[in-house]
Amino acid sequence: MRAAGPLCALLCLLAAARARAASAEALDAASPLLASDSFAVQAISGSELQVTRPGSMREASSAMGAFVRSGKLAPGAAVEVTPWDLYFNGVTWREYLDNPWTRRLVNLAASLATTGGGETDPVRSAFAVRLRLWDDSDWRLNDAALACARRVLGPVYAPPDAPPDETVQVQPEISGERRDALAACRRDNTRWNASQAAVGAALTLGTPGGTFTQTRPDGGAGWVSIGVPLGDAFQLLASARASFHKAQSGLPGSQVAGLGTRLCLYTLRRLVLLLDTGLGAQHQGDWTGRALLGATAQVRLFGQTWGELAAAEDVHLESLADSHFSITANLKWNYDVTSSLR
Amino acid sequence: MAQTIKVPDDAGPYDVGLSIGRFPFDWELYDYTRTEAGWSKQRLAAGSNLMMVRLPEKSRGELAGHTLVWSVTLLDLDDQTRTTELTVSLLGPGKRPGVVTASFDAVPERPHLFITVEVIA
Repeated sequence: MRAAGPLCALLCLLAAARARAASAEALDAASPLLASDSFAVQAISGSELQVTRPGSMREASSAMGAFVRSGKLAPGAAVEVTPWDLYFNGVTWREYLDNPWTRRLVNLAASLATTGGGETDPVRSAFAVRLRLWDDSDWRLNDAALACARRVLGPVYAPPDAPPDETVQVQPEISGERRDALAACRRDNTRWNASQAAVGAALTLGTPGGTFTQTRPDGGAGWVSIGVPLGDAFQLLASARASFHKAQSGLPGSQVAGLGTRLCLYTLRRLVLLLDTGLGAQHQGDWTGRALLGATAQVRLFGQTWGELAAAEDVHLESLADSHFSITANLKWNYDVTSSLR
Repeated sequence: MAQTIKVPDDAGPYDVGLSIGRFPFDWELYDYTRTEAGWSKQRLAAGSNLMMVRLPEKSRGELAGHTLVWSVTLLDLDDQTRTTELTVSLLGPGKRPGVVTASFDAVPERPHLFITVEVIA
């Protein structure tokens, strides 16, 4: 905390509050980002949004309907699709297996998310693409998972006495026991901390009043994320982000950059420990910075219900207009019982 | 009705193959022919993923009228339904194969399929 008299301390607290609001994006940039996260959501700080990931063109069309309400752009929607996979669909398993660029193309994800849209704020949206560089958790590349699936499913069905009338006749569901065994093939043969990496870019837009014709680009962002296993129990995640916003509505333009890391321990099938560290900087007239140190413990209580205890030390570094330098530290505790592992 | 596939050339040899999106799969191929008593079937081959199978019929006249059926087990460990396109290709000595495509929703709970195409002259 700043060492000063009471009045100065009060003024500093107000300044710090302003800086905290202004440097919120620096904190986002300092937070680790998973390679599988929807970057459109991250680009507009909409982490509370539920991302819909349709598996077919029909579902994708339906999901896109969430972005339009009464002829206007609606906030609070997030969709991620893999367009090549959904639309072209012509890659065989062998081609997918043999060519890493085919895999990258098939898994190229496009995401769209919207947020905001209060009485005076425009609806903010982001369109992002994510290129998966590699993903060792991909079951299609996992011989052990496929061998397990073959064991569970057994041989093909005996042919009928007469040929079926339809081109594709899907047979009835397998038993619940075999369904569970099939799910275990993926779970038990895929490393929870499998190596993954992705890069992405996003275009952010503002839409005053949700009126489509008034949509204007207001910034852009780019990121890279890598996750690597450390033995059987640990995973190290690291992400770097940079973004900019154009000057608008009397506010100066801003540039943000940050680096975040997460060390994750998963052990005993019911205990997860996360250690987050990060640094973010934001330039909007003045420089402000955020340093993040967080620890989280998650314990599986029963079934898929997890309890969570978290603490975070969040340090604000700010360069004020009168050339003073200020550091503000906050400690935040959080307790939650979640319905699933975060 | 099952889709039809045209014999591409007057004379063989003919090869046929099936691909199902980017799913790995196991299959057995059966050749059905109509008889006075109903249908007779012959197991032609078995394998995994896309493989071309040489058909025993040597000419358009011999092959037309047959129905080809694949009994398939799809290895699907996805956690969501995925609309998937399958392709049956019938190749002769010429350059233009006969092709049939169809779409279906692949779900892990329903991995067993029959894929049927009728061969026409």
